[in-house]
Amino acid sequence: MNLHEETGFANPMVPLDKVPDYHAAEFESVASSFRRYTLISTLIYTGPLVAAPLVAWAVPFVPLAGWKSLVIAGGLLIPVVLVGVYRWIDAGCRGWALRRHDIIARAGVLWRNVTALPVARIQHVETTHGPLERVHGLARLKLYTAGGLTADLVVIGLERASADRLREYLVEQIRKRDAETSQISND
Amino acid sequence: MTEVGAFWKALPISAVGALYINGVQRFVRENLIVFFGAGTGFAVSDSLGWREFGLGAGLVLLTGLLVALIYHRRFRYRVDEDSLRVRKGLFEQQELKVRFERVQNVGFSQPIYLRPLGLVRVTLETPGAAQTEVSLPGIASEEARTLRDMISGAVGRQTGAADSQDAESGRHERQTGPPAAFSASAADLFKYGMTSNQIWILLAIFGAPASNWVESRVSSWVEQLSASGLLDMELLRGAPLLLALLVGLLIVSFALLLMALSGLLAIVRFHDYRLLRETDRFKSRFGLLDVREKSLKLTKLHAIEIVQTAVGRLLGQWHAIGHQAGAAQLDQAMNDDRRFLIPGIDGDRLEEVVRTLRGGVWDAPDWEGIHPRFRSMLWSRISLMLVASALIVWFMLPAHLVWPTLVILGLNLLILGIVHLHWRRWGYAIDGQRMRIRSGLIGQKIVEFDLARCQQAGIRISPYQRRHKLASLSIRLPHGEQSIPYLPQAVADQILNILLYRTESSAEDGL
Repeated sequence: MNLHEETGFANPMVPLDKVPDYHAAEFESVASSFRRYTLISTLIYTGPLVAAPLVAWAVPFVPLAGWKSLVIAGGLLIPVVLVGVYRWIDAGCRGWALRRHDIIARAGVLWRNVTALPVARIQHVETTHGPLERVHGLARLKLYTAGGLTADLVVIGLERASADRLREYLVEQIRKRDAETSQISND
Repeated sequence: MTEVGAFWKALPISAVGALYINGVQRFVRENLIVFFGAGTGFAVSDSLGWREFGLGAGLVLLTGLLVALIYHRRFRYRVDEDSLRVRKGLFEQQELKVRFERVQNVGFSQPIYLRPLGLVRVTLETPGAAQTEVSLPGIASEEARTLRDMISGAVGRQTGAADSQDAESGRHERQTGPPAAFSASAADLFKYGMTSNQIWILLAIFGAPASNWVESRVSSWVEQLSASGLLDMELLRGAPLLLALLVGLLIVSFALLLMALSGLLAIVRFHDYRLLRETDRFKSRFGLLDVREKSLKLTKLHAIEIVQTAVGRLLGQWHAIGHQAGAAQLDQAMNDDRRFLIPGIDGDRLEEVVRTLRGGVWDAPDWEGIHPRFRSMLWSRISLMLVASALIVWFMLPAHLVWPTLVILGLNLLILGIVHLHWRRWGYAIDGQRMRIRSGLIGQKIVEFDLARCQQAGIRISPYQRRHKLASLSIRLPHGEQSIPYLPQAVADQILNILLYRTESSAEDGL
């Protein structure tokens, strides 16, 4: 199949009613421990912000009166809580689906997005998990296509086992595809 | 494989000069801004005279020569049956190996200083990052041709479409070659240079440092002028409109000067541009000081882009780009040499060129527009912001001056007009196999691509779009991302479905 007509022109009708709709895919939601994970990671990353003025209160040579540091800490607590709530809701909006020929991921609370990556285009797959994710039995799946420097699609909040299974499955697909193409080129 | 034996070879000794010039050129290009700063510092400071300048320059040039010699000494390449290996590196040794069947393109380039030596620079392009590109900075042209024939033979075998004609065709195109499918005259190229956007990029880079210099120059000129009595400054001071006219005239003439300069540059760069069609590829040759030869395999061509800039619209000028797979997104801004560019196409010949490129008739499609809410959303938000700021300005200014407010409102109207033009330009057309996307403002850009070459596709929906059942579609192609904003959600979904269906039902690999 080519853009240049002489070398490979075929123009079959697209059977519109037979083209599978991505909406019909059954989206898996994130692992159940993902919500707890987001809360804890939010706490770890933003907690020190709230704690800092309180610590400053305890340090004798910092001229910060008690009630002032309380007010500052309280003021900082509001965005921290908002971020936590947002990430809690966000976890519920995330989902992924594996179809025979592609992998689809959706995300976003207000600005929503759906990204579909054909399996035939995947060059490289990896799973990663940070220490906190490991504690919660979570992992993220990174998918790379040709030419890109960064991962083209990252699915977060997968269970370790299913992430590994997905990776194995996709690697198998890539292997099969490469075997096929090299066979074609050797003929 | 007669001339090219399987052993490590050094570059010919005459290539040292080429390496030297090449290295100095690159050094200057990469440190252009530093040079600019140094030049300004040099001009400003009194303690530095010409002697210091000469000394510094001499030192740099001498170091360059030393580096070139060492580089030449350590550079080794080896042509094997099916691959090319290169060993190089000043301090650490690097060894690269390129298998011929991975090679997408063999680029030849012959700068003017290589011509008397009978050397050419050969670049092997592979799909993937630009850093992995392998080049031989100067080998004998006979050897280069043999190498190319070997590579195209290997690639031909691999795709099962070897043709003996191709091996011959590279030899003497200029004298006996096939007639060009497209050739650009100097006038065409001049127009292309005037219309291309590169001058504005240059202006953006050098505008800031240059403006200081221009400012000091202009003020001294003005002083001289007023001292000489040619121009009555008092008169100008009394007539602001005349002054504004003068300044405007200056700016316009400066822009025209830049455009002419850019036109001349284009003539030098693309001199005698010829597009040739061979059995399985396109080939282009061009250049005055640096003769280049590029090729584009038909099977690798996945998208065609035709562009008319705003100035190009005035002159009826287009240019076209044939995109092939590769991670060229990163170096597209300044001088992306990996693009297959066809410059200086005038309106009458556009259809012919595009027909040659895509191998079929370029029928003007019925463009489907995007949703009017794209326009009304931008209109309402921009107007809201600008009217509010106009009111604030009016309120805040002492004596409630009216004209700044009016200026802001006038600007607002102008922007609304621009938004309308931009909205109207957006368009797409989709047949069973290909998709075309048109965008632009005054000029336009049309990209046509094979649906099956899509790398990834996605849909983005903002809260506003969700309320109105709209969505933006983005399509990742091997050369970069294309997007269409504000489609009805059902349409965006359908296009996404078709894209995926096409990509997944075609067996071919995406590379």
